[in-house]
Amino acid sequence: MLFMQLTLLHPLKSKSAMSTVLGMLIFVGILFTCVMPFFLYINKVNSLYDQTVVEMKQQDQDRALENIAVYAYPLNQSSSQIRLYIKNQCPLTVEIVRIWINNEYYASNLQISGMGENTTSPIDIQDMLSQVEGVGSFQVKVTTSRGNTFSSLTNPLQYSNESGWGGGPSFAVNIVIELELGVYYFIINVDDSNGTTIYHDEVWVVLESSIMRRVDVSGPGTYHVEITQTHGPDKTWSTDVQITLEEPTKWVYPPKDYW
Amino acid sequence: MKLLNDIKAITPVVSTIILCGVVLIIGISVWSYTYSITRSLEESYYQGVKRQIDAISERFVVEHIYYDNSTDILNVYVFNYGMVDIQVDVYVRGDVEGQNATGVSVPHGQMVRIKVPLVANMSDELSITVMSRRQNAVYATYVVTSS
Repeated sequence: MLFMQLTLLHPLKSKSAMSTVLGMLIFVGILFTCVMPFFLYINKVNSLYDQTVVEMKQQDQDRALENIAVYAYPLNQSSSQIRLYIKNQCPLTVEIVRIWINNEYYASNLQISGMGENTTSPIDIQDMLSQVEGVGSFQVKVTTSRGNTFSSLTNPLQYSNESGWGGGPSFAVNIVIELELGVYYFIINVDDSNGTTIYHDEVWVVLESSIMRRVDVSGPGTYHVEITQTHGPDKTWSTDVQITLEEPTKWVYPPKDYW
Repeated sequence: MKLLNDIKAITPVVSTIILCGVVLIIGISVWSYTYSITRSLEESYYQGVKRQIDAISERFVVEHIYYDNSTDILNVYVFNYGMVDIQVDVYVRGDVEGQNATGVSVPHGQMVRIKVPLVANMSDELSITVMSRRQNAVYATYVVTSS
């Protein structure tokens, strides 16, 4: 009891001790209300910066990973509409935000899941076609939400008022199948002049108005294209395609009402 | 009453009160000053870091370029795919020179066409620099074709 009295009352009996205690309390108060929150705040702000750096690195990495193959194609030989068949060749979902045809652009919000494929809605370019004199050339490209731009592998699409669509610089057969909405199962085969199958694809088409496949060939020659539709009664359509140095890319359009 | 009549008894009490008051006034003043200083430092530090965060968050590309020879305008389309709004200036060097240094705003997620007036000829090679006001730059080249 005596010890407690001495301990508690002793400072009160000394003026300097009383003010020392008050000063100490104020110092501790400053430490806890100003200095420590200041350092905690700086730490938090630094964390925010580090987090942003990590997020931006991730975004850059995703952007570098983006890889799609774009195939622009007219719906038929004389169509004023163009569609884009896009194959996503990366594991990330890709969003197409704009489609460029020459110097005109069309907004889009098409999403293509990782390693998936999708086709855009038809884009009407009648205004551009009406200005074509002789042969018009069309460069198509798309922009993704991550800021990448991919040109169509069928560039340049060429159009003339006399013969419609054609053209392309590389040796290839572009097959476009225009359809009524429904369910189809196509087997597409392309053989070279020796009878060797150079392309084989089996594809389900569900509620699509068209599909497009590009077949790269080795050079000039005759190629046999055979398309079989097996959902329901079998129907086979075939044609021979002549690839020449003058016209290295040929477009193949089976009749829409055939299926 | 006995205490008030004893001057020696009251002096220590008064002096203690005065001393404590002085300590409290000085202490509170120091606390207030320190508090305002640290708040000010926090704010300026945050603003500094925020500027750096905005600078590293900028992402933009030159998406498309074409020259319109009927109006003598080079159209530069800049797509801001980053997280912050940006302001950019466009400088053209090469066979002909021109610029648009008006600090065109490009909101994030948007594409904006920036017009650069210049007179170019077919096959002129142009080097285009798009520089943001946060000092990030993107470069592109363009060969003038018929529009």
